[in-house]
Amino acid sequence: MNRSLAPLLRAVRRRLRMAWAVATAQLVAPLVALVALALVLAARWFDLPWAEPAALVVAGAALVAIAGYALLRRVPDTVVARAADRGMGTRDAFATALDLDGERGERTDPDFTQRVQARAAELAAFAEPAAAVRYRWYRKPTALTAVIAPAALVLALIANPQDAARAQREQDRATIEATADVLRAEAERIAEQPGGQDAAERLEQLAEDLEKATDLDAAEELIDQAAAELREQIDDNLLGQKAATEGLARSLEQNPLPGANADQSAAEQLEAMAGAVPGMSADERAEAAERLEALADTQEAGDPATADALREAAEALRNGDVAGAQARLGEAAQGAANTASDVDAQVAAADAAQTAAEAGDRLARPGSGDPSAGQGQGQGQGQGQGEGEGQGEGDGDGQGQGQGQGQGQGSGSGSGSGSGSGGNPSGTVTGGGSGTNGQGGQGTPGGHTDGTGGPDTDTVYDPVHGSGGDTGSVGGGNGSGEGGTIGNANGQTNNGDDRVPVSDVLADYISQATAAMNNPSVPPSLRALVLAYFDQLQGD
Amino acid sequence: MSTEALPHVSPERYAEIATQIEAEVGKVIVGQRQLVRTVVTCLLAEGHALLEGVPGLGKTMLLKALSEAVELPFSRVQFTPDLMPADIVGTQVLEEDEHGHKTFRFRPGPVFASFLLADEINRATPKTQSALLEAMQERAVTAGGATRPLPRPFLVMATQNPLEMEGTYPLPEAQLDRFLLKAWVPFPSADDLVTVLERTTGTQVADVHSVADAPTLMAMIDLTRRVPVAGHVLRHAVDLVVATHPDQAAAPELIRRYVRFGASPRGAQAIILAAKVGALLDGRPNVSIADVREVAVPALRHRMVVGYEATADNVDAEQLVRALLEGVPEPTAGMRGAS
Repeated sequence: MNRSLAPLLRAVRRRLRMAWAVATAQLVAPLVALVALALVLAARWFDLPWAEPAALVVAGAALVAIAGYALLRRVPDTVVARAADRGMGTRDAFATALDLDGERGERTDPDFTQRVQARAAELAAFAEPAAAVRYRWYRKPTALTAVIAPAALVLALIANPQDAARAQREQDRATIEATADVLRAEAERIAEQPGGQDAAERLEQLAEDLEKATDLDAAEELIDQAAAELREQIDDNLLGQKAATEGLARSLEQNPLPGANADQSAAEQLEAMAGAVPGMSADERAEAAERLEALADTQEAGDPATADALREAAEALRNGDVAGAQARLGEAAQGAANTASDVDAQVAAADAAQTAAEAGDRLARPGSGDPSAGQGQGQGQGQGQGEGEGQGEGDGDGQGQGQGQGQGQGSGSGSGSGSGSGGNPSGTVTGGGSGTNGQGGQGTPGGHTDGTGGPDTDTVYDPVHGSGGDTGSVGGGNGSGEGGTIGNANGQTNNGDDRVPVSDVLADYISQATAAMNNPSVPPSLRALVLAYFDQLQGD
Repeated sequence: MSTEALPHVSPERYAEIATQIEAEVGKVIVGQRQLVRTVVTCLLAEGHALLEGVPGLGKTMLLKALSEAVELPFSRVQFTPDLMPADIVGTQVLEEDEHGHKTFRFRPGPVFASFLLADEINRATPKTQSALLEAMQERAVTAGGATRPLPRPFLVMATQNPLEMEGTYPLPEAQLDRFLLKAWVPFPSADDLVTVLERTTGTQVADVHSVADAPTLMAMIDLTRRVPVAGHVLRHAVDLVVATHPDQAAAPELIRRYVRFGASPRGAQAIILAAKVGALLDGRPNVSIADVREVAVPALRHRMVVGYEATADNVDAEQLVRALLEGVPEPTAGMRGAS
């Protein structure tokens, strides 16, 4: 190629690429603006959070594509030369010079070839690329773009009817993620519990599933499903099993079996006793048999297999069957160990189920913030009423009735998801009336509120075991008696101290709860809830 | 006249001589610059010119002045219905020498001149018109069994009177195709007419000087053919000619409606040759698209066979060629955004 033309052709080529990009952008712009407008409009009618970004992406992609193609497209020298000729009015000097560089030049008069090249070089020396290629403006497409693009921009910037839905979805998403974080933290905690590995893994899986959940409904469904699966792992008689296992452990801890020490588990103590049986005297065996019988009674409800083994061991001891006693004790040890392990797993499952249930509640009533930082305020109010009514009879005995009512209120507010647990109001009034004087009922009302984010696990409300509270007065009822008097008396209402240490009452609670939960009318889910409650008390 | 014997004429000298020729002719032909340029173009491309115009506009004077400017013989034939071919090409005559021997001798006709003015060519019969065919194309005449070359350069300038069509024989397409360009001789403007009167009704006669001779003209004709043409320029000429055919997709609507047959390849040759002359006269060593488009009208207007619909709608060939130029625009660079 004519070397003197090369700089001009390079400059004109660059200018051509730019001119092409400018022209194409002008022609494509109305279409892009129209697409963007359609997306923005669609985002106002439908909940399409991706629509506005997509509009930007479409515009950006179009620009990038145009710029990229302008840079990469091949622009032949002939096109450049002809563009320069047309733009500069050089009457095909450059194109002809370029043409004569090739095969055609060999068939052309050398003198003319030289003249053509010289003329092209001379023109190129004074050529201005900007004059060779002028940017073209397409009025109609530009005008269309000038109308459509601002409209799309304004619609994208002003308030969108779908903003509330989007904010809600983002909030839901944040809630779901926070819930997933909580589930992971709980999974780590449960994993550290004995037998809690499976339940923890299920919670981890639930947390992962929640990350993929599209909305709250889906998240709640996942949680419900996980909670149901975890509850299915809980035996209906878990409380009985737990009471039996823990009762056995506590009993053996306080009074170890012969040949064992208090630090050993129940199974280990039974194994140790089996080893000690041959060395026992007859009295010792009888005493041991009696002890085993007593232990068997405690295991009857929760762990019948172990109870049977213990009885059989006691029987064998009484019969002097050392080997049989050892074998039965071994079975009892195995049974106790299995039951303890099973109970641990179920307890963990119950814990996990409860965690899942709480997560479900969290999704249903989302708060904000860190639940551990929650603060609550609670109010407790106790009110007792007693009414006594006496009715005189011949023997002067009377009957009285008393009513007591306790009310409690609690409310909690917390930043974040912290919630004040509701007060645990209760009040009982027992009343009695004497024949001569109606005696007001006796009430022991109490109000209790945990104002912190979690339950108070150090003490527990217990109106029965409470004492030392203030004494209140409750107006007594009228007593009447035959030939007697009808009088008024003031009854007493004792506002007892409503909180006692958990450790003092836990065993009784578990025992009572076990008995209560054996009622088949209690739903399994409720049993799990109760179980989790006691587990938490016990754990703390 | 062999090429080796020709004097060297540079493109600059070419343009200079051509300008001088036009200037000399312009001494006697007032105005009519485009007509003079057309005839000079035909001369330098060694083609033939067909002039159409009413009588009395200086067509004969033009060719006569041209012949004087280049020192070449000029002959004029007034075509009439009784004109015979021999009256043009010449005939064998019986001659007797001093010894009484009788021999046939060829007496050359008026065609044996460098410049032949075939005045009102459409008044002669087709037979006579066709006598010019060989002369125009082959630049030779066959008579009495012998082919005789015509002098070079050889230019036929035929005229037609568009008004008096009674008793005329329209030129056949084959013969029309042999004219390089067809020019319309317009009636002079008032100012030009005043000048004409001043020059022709006084005592002074314009003196036309010779500015070139036959070898120089042949060298110029040779130089014309050496002018290079870029591929895209050739292509544009072809596109124009192809678009004159009504059955072609590129043909504009007017062409489809009014033209029965389009131009032959000679049309494209005529365009390129005339464009080469135009480039050299413009002082350029190459042919441009603009050169091609400038000569498209005179080169194509007589090569399209128009239908009776065109006559009925008062559409002439020139209008059709201009429609053709609009329908086949100047080719762009082929890239969006470029001019």
